[in-house]
Amino acid sequence: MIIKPASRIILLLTGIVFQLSAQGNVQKDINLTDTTLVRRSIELVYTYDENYDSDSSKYYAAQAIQLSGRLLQSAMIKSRSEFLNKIITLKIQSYVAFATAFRVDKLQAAEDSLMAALLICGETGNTKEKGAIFDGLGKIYELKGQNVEALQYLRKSVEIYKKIGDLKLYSNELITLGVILRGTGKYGESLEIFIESLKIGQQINDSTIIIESLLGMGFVYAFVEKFEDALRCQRGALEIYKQMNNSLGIARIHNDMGVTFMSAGELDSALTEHQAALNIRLNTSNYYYIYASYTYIGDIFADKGNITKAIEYYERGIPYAEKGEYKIATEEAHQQLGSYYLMLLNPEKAMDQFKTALKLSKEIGDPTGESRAIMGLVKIYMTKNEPGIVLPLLKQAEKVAPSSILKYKKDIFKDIADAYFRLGDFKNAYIISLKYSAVKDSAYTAENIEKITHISNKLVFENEIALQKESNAKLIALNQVQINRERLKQNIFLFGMILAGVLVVITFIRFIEKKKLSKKLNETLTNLQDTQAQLLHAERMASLGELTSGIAHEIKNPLNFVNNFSEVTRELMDEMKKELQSKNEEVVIKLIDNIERNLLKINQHGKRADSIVKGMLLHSRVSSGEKTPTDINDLLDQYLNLAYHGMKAQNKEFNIIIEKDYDESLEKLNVIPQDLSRAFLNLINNACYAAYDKLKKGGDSSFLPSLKVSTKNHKEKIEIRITDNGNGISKNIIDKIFQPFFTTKPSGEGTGLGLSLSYDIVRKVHGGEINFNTREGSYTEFIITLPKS
Amino acid sequence: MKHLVVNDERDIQFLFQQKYRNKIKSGKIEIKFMFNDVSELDLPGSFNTYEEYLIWTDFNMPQMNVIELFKETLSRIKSYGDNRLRG
Repeated sequence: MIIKPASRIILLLTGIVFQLSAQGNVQKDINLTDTTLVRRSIELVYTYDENYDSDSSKYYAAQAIQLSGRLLQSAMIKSRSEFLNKIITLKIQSYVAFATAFRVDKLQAAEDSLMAALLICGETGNTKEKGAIFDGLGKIYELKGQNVEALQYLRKSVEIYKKIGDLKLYSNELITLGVILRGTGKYGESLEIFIESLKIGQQINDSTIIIESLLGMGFVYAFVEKFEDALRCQRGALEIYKQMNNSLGIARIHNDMGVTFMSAGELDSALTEHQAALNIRLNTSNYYYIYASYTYIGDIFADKGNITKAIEYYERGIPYAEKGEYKIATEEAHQQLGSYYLMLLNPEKAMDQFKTALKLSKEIGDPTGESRAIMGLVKIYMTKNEPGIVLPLLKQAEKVAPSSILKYKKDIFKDIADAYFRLGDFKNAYIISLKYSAVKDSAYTAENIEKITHISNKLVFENEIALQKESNAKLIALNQVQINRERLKQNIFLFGMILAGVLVVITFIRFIEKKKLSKKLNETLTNLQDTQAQLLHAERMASLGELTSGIAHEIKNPLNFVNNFSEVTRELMDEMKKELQSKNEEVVIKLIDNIERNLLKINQHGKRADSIVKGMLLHSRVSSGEKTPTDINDLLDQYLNLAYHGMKAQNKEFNIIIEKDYDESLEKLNVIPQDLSRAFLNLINNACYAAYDKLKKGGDSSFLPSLKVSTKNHKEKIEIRITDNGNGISKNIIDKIFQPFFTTKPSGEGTGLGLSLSYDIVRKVHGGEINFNTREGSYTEFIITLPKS
Repeated sequence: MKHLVVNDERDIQFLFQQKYRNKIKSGKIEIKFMFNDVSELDLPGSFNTYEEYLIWTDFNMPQMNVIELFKETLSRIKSYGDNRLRG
């Protein structure tokens, strides 16, 4: 049973395939890219199907089938099971796509394709594909009107999706099942199904499924006349659409709520809702919806008894139906308008409407519409009492009527019977009435359904099929917008996260780098400090080395004298003993004089050595003190006094004119006072010595030795000047004056360490400078500059 | 034998005079002293030009060092056309 249609479809497909090959659109080499080609073809099938381009959809479906078939052959030869399974899946998908494409008008072809797919599927047990097959079969049987079979297949599909655990497919399938169950009047089960799909929709947070479930429930409630519950569900869905900012969706809910209110008999509320839906829809290009809203409003006015208004709305709706080329809707509208004009007792206009409807129904091939239009015309001609025209019309109606749908069938038969009866043709009237009762009997079981689904048919058509067919693209576009928006949100969020992440990373890296850098800097600083300390030490050692070499020479001189004089003295003592024996008194006294003088010399040179050692000790003691904020003026003045009195103590004749010029704005400076004071003392001593020396040596009696001491505050340093009016420093020794042990003083009077020590103190300890200006025979000025930091 | 002592230490004079007092007394040696200043080095006036003499000197002195002293001495002797100087 199953194989038969499958083989039929294969034959059918082969034909198409040949056609395609002739067009040269298919690649001859089969390689891996062909699988991609198949996939793309399948995608295109659905895309075109959604956009109502059924020809393109069919074309690609055929291409997918053909390509997957060739791939399957090649895969079977290669017999790589993994690859084979992949191809088989593709093949099944191709069949399903084919069925979708052909479902529009070739139900049998679609069914056969699915049966073929099921055949392959049964062998491989590919359950997901099986679900799609059963789904497709269910929909086909539903279109065929075979609801029992449709439900069977859909239930199977639901079962399979549930097993796979694909919640989205499962819930979608539940909604399809729920709609069909509702259509067949199984409201309880339908409600259960919708509740289940709602639960899953909430679980996977899929707004589309939630909305569809709510609306599904809403109509179930509406059909069982629980309008409050129905409205509650619809309002819930409305909220979601409002959150999504989906105006078309909002219009849909207004429409549905309008229908609910209509069913509840609340015509004013219904009118408000439909008007709201219409207002939104008028801003869109979705003509079917606009038409639907107009006709709904028209129906409401008709229910209210305002037929003129109803006609007005229908007439406003028709152009939209025509614009969108919705022939069925246009025909339906003309039928309705015909009936309304009849009610208004305007047979002329009614006749125009029925004629248009008849023409359209013939174009579409709609027997129901045709028979309805004919019967409308019959009614008009009956009132005009024109049996000659009525009879052929009745025959025509009789012919078409059996093919019309159940809903209108019995009415049509009843009308035909009535017409015969009124024409006095009782025989025909009887035959038709028999047919009518047969229809009535066969329809009896369906009558309940019909009663219940009186609104449902229109609704199902509008809300499910029309929605899918007419506005799928719109919905998909809206969904796409929604998805895009969410994706954008996600992207923005992701981008934000990435940005934040990058920032964090950058900050972290910079932090680490900074840390590294500061660590390095610290290390470098420590190294530098170490090096500086080492350098300082080395400097001091070098300075000590200089000193020791100087000492070796300098200290040796006085020690030589001590040794030699003492030796000579001992010799003299021996000589004196001899002279004493010879009682040569004169010679003895002379010897004693010599000895006395020698001893004096020994003492002198001993003291000299001592002072050298002391100076050396001072040198080595440099920078042992702590830097403390010191008033330089005070320190200078204090040591000026010390130096002056020291000189005075050595030589009572010494005197000097002292001029002081201290800058009072001088702030305290961080120095080592005991060191700096030594430098001051040395320089002042030198100055005093130089000035006084000039007085002693020079013959100028009017010469007055003078000393000027001054301080000056500069921006970043302070300056100390010590000036004397002595003989100055001769050019040939200018570069030697800071050398240790260099002195111009007579031997024994100076150690030659004073200036050297001062230089060290100022330059090395305090980071300052020591300079001098001098003119021979005129003056010497020493300038000490100390930095403030 | 004639001696020249060049030194910035004036006490060297007393020391030498006492140390070699017997030789000086007996006339065996004659010692001249010079202190500190190159201008004092008045060789031709101080010594007989054609006599040998021995110079005692400190190496480093405030006004000159021994090399300068040596150069100075040499140039003065050369100006007399005599190069019989010995270390």
